[in-house]
Amino acid sequence: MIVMFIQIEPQSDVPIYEQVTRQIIEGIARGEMKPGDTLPSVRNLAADLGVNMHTVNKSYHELEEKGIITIRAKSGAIIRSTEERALTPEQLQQIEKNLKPVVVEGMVLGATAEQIEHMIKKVFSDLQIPVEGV
Amino acid sequence: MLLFVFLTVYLLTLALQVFVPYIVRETIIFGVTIPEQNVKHPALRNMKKHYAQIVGISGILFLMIMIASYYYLAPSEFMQGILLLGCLFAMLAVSMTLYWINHQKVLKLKREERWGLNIKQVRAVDLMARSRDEILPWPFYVVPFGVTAFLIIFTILHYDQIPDHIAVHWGPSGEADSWRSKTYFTAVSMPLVMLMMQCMMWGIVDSIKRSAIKLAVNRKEESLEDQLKSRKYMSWNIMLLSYSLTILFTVLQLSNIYPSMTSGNRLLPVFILFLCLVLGSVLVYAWKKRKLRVTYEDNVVAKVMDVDEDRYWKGGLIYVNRQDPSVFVEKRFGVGWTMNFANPRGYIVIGLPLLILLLISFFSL
Repeated sequence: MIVMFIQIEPQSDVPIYEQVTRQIIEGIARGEMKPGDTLPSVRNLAADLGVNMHTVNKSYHELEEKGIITIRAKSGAIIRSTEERALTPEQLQQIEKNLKPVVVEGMVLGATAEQIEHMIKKVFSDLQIPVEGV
Repeated sequence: MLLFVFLTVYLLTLALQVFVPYIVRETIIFGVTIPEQNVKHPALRNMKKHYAQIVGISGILFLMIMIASYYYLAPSEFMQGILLLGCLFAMLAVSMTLYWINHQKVLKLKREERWGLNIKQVRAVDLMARSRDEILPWPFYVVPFGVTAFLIIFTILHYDQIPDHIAVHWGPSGEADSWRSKTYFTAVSMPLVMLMMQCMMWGIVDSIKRSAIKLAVNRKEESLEDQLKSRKYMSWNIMLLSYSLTILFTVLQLSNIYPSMTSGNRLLPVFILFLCLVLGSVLVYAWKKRKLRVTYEDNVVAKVMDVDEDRYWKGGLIYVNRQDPSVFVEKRFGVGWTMNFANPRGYIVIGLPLLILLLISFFSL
C-alpha cells in the first residue's frame, strides 16, 4: 500500500500553503513520491485539508515555479523527474539566497561553520540520502 | 400489517439510537472532541452506558404502552397511525433530550479538566488516498434516468388505456387509497418525482466524492481504511436505494396503466421488499462502521491531536463551516452523513430536487 501523509497545523505562524509546499518537497526527498506520480487535484486536496482552493492552488504554483512539478490542464500536477528538473545555476543561486539569512543568524548567535555544516549533513542523512562525513 | 411494518422500523431505530455512542468515532463523545488520552475517562464511560440503558428501557416501555393501547384504545386506522407515530417520536425525544444533557456535561468536563489545551492540533492528509477512492462512478447513478425516460414515453403512448382516475397514494397494505382525475401531467407526475429522487441520489454521491477524506492524526492507517470503506459502502447503499426506488416507482406506474396488477394485494411483496432493502442497508452500514471503528488504548500520551472543530458544530449536531469546501461530512452523533450548512452546493444538491418534487406533488394533487 502506497501512502504519502502530510500534516498541516492550522494554528501555526507558517502559512498553510507554505506548509503544503514544504511537506510535498519533503515527501519527494524521502522518495515517498516518485517522478511521474500525480498529486491530487486542487479541489480534492483542498477538501481533504479543509482549506480554501486558492491555498492549494498557490502551493501548486509555487512548486511549479521551483521546477518540481508540471501542471497540465487535464492530467493534473505531475512530479518531474530528476532529468527534467536538472539543477540550473539560477536555482542554485536561489537556494543560496534562501540559505543565507539562516546561516547568518546562526553566525550571529555563535554557531560555527562546522556546526552548520553538520546540520546540513544531518538533514541529508535524515532523508536517507547517502552523504560523506556523517 | 401496519403494526408489523411499524414494529420493524421502530425496533431498528431504537437499536441504532441505543448503540450510537458505540458506533461513532471514539474521540468524539456526545458531539464533543476529546483528546485521545482522555477518551477512557470513567465519567465518559458512565455517561455512554447510562445513555444506552435509559434510551433502551424507555424505548421498550413506550413500545409496551403502545401495543396495549393499540388494541384497546385505537379502533380507527387514523388513530392507530397517530399512536404509532407518537410512540416513535416519544422515543426519539427521549434520546435527543439525553443526548443534549450529556453533550452539556461533556462540554463542562472538557472545560474544567482543560482537556487538549496544550496539545498541538494537526490535520493529516494522505496524498495517495484519492487514487484508492472506490466510490462508484457516475454512470451507475445515471442509468436509472433511462428507465424514467422510457417510462414517461411508455405512459404517453398508452395514455388512452389509463383509467380516468390515477392512484397517487398507497396504504400500508399495498392498496391504493387516493386517486386523481387523469391529465397528461398527473399521468407522468410519478415518473417525474422518481426522476428528482434519482437526481438527488446522484448529487449526494457526487458531493460525497468531493468531500474530505478525514484522517485521525494518531491513527492514520486505520482511519484511512475506515474512510475509504465508509465511502465505498455509502456509494453502494445509495445506488441500492436509487435502484430500488426506480423499481418501486416503475411497478406503481405500470399498475396505473394496467390496474389489474393491483388486485388481491399483489403489490404488497414489492412494498415489503423495498422496506427490507432500505432498512437492511442501513443496518449493514452501521454494522460495518462499528467493525471499522478505530479503537484507542488506555493512558496513551499523544503529542498531537486532530483539529478541534467543535465551534463549527452547533449543538454538536449541525455543521456550519464556511472555510470547509466539503459538502457532506460524517455525522458526529448518528450513522451516516450530514450537510455542511455553510456550503451553497449542498442546498442545490438536496434543496433543488426536493423543491421540484414538492411542486410536482403539489400541482398533481
